[in-house]
Amino acid sequence: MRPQSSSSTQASQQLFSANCTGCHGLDGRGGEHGPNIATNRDVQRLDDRDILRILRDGVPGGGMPGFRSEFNDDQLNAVVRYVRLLQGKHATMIVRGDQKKGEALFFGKARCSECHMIGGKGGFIASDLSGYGQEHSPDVIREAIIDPNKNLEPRRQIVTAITRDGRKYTGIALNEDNFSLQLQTLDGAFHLFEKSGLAKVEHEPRSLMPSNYVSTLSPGDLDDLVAYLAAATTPGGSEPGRDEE
Amino acid sequence: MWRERHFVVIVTICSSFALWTAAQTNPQSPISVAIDVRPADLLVQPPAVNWSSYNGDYSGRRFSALKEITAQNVDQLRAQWVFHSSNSSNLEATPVVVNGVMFMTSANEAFALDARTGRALWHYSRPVTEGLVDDASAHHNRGVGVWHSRVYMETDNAHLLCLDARSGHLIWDVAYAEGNSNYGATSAPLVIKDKVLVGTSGGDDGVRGFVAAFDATTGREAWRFWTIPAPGEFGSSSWPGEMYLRGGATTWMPGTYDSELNTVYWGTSNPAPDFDGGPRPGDDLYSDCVLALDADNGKLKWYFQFTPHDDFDYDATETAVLIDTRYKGALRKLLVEANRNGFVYILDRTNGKYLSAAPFVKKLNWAKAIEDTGRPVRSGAEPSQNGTLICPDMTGATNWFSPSYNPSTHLLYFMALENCQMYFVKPQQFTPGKQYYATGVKHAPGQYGQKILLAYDPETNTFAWRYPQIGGGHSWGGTMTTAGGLVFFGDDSEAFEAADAQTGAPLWHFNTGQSMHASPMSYAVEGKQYVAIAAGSDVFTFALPDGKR
Repeated sequence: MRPQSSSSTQASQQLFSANCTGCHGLDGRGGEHGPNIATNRDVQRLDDRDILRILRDGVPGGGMPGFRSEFNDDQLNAVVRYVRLLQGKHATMIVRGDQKKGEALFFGKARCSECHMIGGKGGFIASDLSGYGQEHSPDVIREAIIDPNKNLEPRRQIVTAITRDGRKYTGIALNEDNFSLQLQTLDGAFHLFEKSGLAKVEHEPRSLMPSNYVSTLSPGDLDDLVAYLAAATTPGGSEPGRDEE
Repeated sequence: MWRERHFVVIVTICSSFALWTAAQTNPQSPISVAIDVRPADLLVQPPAVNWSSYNGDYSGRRFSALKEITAQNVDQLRAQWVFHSSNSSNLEATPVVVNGVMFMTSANEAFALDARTGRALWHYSRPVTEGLVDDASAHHNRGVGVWHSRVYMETDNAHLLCLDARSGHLIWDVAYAEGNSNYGATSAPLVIKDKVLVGTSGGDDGVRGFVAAFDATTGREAWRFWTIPAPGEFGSSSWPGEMYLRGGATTWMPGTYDSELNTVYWGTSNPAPDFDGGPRPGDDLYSDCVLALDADNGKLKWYFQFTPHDDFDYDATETAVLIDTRYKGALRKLLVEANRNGFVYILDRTNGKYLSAAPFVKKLNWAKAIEDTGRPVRSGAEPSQNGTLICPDMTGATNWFSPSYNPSTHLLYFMALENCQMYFVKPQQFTPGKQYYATGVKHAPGQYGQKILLAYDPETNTFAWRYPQIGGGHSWGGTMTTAGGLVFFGDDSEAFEAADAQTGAPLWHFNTGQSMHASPMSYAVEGKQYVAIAAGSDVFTFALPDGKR
């Protein structure tokens, strides 16, 4: 599907606003009645045909109506294009760095792979960045590197659980509800708590990711790293038969 | 403010509970675990705290050594938590539990759950595959294999995925069935030593079956055994021209394994086209077989074919249960299989020698008897243009839902179905993207399915008890048995049920409100025994209330 002109973008936006935002929100990130279709990776991975089919036929039993009778094919395709825009795809991208150097940084000096994985290689405590470039613009990638605490999702905060007998566990909360906490520490161990056994749970509004990349990486290094991450557009996993360890 | 809980400390002097009281700790204490399943851990039999593979252990017995829940207290069993899958209305997986972490799958998705609360630790997903046929198009999945800190699952389009057990991140992805768009996969991988063994679906759709093993570290293919011989190989006379590429004999359930013999026992499906034997003269090897394969290289040691030249869709993918017991005065290594064709077989698993067979349903007309060699004496009934009444029906006298064997009672438990259908044949050419049944079955007037939970004694070749079920005969719930003297099973009225393993008396039930297409399992966390089963789109777990333990 080709990128669209500003006038057709406006038309697509109008269609989306008039028919979709009530459930999915103006930014596509979900609302009272509909799920996030902008940053949800499962939705992002759908190809245009699948999105078109859902638009036409709806999701029976899921609350999503079909627009087969309301929209013609051009209008349906326009909505698909606008969903893609909300997902950050087809935006103009200027990438300055060198991907190869960026890859060397990712697995070397910048130590990103100690926590993140790309293509089946790397760590586990942070997100798998395979396909990250497909979903995020270079500007967003750069910002995420130099200021990881900006707009930090609550589930990515550092959490410390203190038991009633004084033991402390610090890591990432994989899940939490009113009665239990599932924590993972940097060594990969899962720590499964019932809150009745905890004296305190502390949420620190800070990421495990270092926040000093501006000082530890040169501007050129940052460009290279951004270039490598922006090129990470495949869903993940290594090629069959490749040695992992 | 968190709620305070009050726990009653039970001091028991009953010796059978000694292990439990010793192991039991304060439920409020944190559970700290690393997932590292060594090959030696997978050899543990029977399973107790952990249920580390589809059947719990390699024997296929589905016998749990846990005995906190007994015939005396099972009526106190209470629901603990429910896990809901949003993309599968019929979960078919058996959960795997390692050190308090449960691994579960739905359609192209895997989950790690806190086994004490059901809360998700991670979730891996990929979109389901469009354009698949038959079973693969329903995106069924029966669970995972685990090895060290890795989790393995099959996808609907026959990829083997290796996930990091700590995060769910995808480490590698191998497309292992290519060259025919009708391949799919629905099974759980079986991990043996440092290899991951897989099979495919598509036995009704014109593919060539195989069992393949992949290096657990790299994903590199280690060996592949084709279940339909290539031209010129032994058994190839059944497959003229290119029929060997279309003949089915797929491998859509995990096998069992005897580590002493280093032998994998793997069942194969029906031949294709299902109802028209014309294009595949002779016995159609190795369809409807149990194959004994060398675990290291996939070489065939022996085979036993239950239904030669099958025209009825009688897959032999039911679990081959490995039992070491006294048989006719001597300790034997047996393989016992309640087969879809209506007979329960006993083989010597060291060499494949047939020892006995007994019919376990009354509605059985495709065969008159089983010869001393194990070969059936056919009645002559076969699908026809105008329809032929054949029993068992196409669903089979039993099917993939699990049997179980309890070494204390010496009984094999499995769910049987009494039914017949009208079988029709209409020759059909193979077409990619289409099913390859060569027509099908219809309801036969006056025939209604009746499910029966059976307890079979292999040592005496008799049935100890029968528990007829109320329901329409459409459920797909399997069985699991425990050292607590119980059989857990999905009954035919959407209830998860426990019966006395010795007598078959029903002792407890829970209405899940959904039909079960899965088999139960048991595990323990901090000394507390749980039982679990998938029903519809949910996993239900049960345990005794803390005050009753």
